[in-house]
Amino acid sequence: MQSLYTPLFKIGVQNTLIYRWNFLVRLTFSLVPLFGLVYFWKAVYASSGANIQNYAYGEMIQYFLICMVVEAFVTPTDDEWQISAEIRDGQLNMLLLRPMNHLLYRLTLFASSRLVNFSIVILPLLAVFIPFHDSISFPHQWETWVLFFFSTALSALIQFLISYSIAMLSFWILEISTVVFIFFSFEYFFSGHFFPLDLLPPIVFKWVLFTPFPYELWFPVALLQGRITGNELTQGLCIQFIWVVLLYSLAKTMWAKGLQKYGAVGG
Amino acid sequence: MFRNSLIREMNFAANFWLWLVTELLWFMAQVGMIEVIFSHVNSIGDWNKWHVILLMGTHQITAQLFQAFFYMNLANLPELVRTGKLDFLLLQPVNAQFVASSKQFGFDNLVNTLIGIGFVFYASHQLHLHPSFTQITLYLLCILCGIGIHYSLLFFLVTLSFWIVKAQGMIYGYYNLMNLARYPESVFLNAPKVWRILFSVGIPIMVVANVPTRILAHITSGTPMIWLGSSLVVGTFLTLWGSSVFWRYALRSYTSASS
Repeated sequence: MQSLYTPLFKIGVQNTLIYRWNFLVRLTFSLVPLFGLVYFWKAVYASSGANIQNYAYGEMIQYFLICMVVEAFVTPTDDEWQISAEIRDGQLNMLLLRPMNHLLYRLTLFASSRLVNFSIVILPLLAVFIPFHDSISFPHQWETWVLFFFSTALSALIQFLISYSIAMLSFWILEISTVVFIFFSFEYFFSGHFFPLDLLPPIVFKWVLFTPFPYELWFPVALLQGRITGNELTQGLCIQFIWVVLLYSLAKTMWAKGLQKYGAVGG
Repeated sequence: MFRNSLIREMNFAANFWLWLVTELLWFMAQVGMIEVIFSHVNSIGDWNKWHVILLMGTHQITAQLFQAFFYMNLANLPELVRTGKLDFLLLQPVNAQFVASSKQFGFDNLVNTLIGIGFVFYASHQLHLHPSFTQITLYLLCILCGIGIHYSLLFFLVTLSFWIVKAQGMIYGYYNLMNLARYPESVFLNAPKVWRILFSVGIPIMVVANVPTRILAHITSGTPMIWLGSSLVVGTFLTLWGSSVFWRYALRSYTSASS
C-alpha cells in the first residue's frame, strides 16, 4: 500500500513544475510584499522608538521572514480549487475506482507541491536574510528546532485539512470561492500573516489562542523566536494537536457524507 | 450590456451577497490591522491613524470601481486565450480591447465602493477636514487616474497570458503590487530613490491612492505635491498607452488555440 503513494508524490512534483512560467511569476511577485513590509515597519519603528511589544525592528523583520518561509511550506496554493474541480467535473469517478484513500491521495499531492515550492522559495528568502543577519539571532538549543519542525508539520496538516474540508462543500454547493475567501480573511488576520499576534489586545489574544488560526502560522514562528516557553509551549502544542485531530475527523465526516450525496445523484 | 450584467447577477443572488460579505471582511481585516498597529504607535511619519484610514478608504474606492467595471473581464482574458474563444471577440466589428475589457459589470464592487466612501467620510470627519470644491474635484480626478492605472497594470499582466498560458500568477501579481498602494507615502521615503521613481512613474502604485489622500487631507510633508501630482498624471497616460501598445503587439502573435 505504501509504495502506491511514492509514484503519486513524483507525479505531484512534476505537475507543480509543468507551468514553469506561472510558477516563476508567482515566485517573483511573492517577494513584492516583502519589499513593502520592510519599509513599512522601518517607517513605523522610526516613529515608535526601539521596541513594539518587545519586538525590536530586526526581530519584527525576522518574524515576517520566518513567516514567509513557513508559509511556503504549509500554505496550500490551489489544492482546494483542484479538489473542488475534481468533485464538480466528475473526475472523482475515476479516482474512486483506484484503490486509494482520497484524503491520503490529496495529502501526497499537497506534500509534493509544498516541497517543490519550499525548495525554490527558500533561496530568494535566504538572500533577504543577509542584510539583516546582524540583528537576527536563532535559538541554539536543538530542542527548540525539533519542536519548531514538529509544530510546522502540524501547521501544514491544519492548513491542508481546512482546505480539504472546505473543498468538500463542493458536494453540496456549486461555487465554493466565497466560502474560501471568507475563511482566508480570518486565516490571514488571526494566523499572524499581517502582524505578530501578540500585538493584539491581550484579551483578544487570549481567546484567539483557542481557535485553529494561530496554529496555522504564528505558533511555530513565535516558538522559533523564543517567545513561547514552558507551560505556554506545552499548552500550545496540545491545542495544536487537538485541532489536527478535530479537523481530521471533520474532513473524514464531510467526505463520507458527501460521497453518499454524490452516489445518490450520479447513480 | 449593463442590463445583461444585472440579470446575470440576480440569477445568483446568494452568491452576490456572499461576495459582498467577503469583500467587507477583507476590508475590515485591513482596518483591524491599522487599529492594532496604531495601538502601539501614534503615527507613521506625519500620518496618523485617520490619515491612514482615509488612504485605505480612497484605495478601496479606486480599486472597487476598477473591479466593478473591468476586473472580471480582464481576469477572464487568459481563459479566452487558452480556449481560443478570443476569436469570436476579434471577429466583432468593434475595438477588441474595449469589448474584452467591458463584457461584465460587478455590482457587489459598487456596494463595496460605498463602504470605501463611508470610511473616507468618517475619517475626514475625525480629521476635521473641510475640503473646498477644488479639492474635491481634484480628488475625484485623481481617482479617475487611479482607475486608469489599475486597469493598465492588470491589462498588461493578463496580456502576458498570450505567452504564459496559465496566468493565475499574473492576477496574484496584480494583487501583490496593488497592496503596496495602501502604504502611506512616508513609507516609501525610506526606500532607495530608484524604487521611488519606479513606483511613481513606471508602475505608479505609490501615487494611486496617496495623491488624492494628500490633496484631501492637506499633508504637505514628504515628496513635494507638484512632483507627485504630475507623476500621477504622467504615469496614468504612460501605463495606458504602454499596455495598449503591448496588447496590439500580443495580438499579432496570437494564433488561436486548436486551429
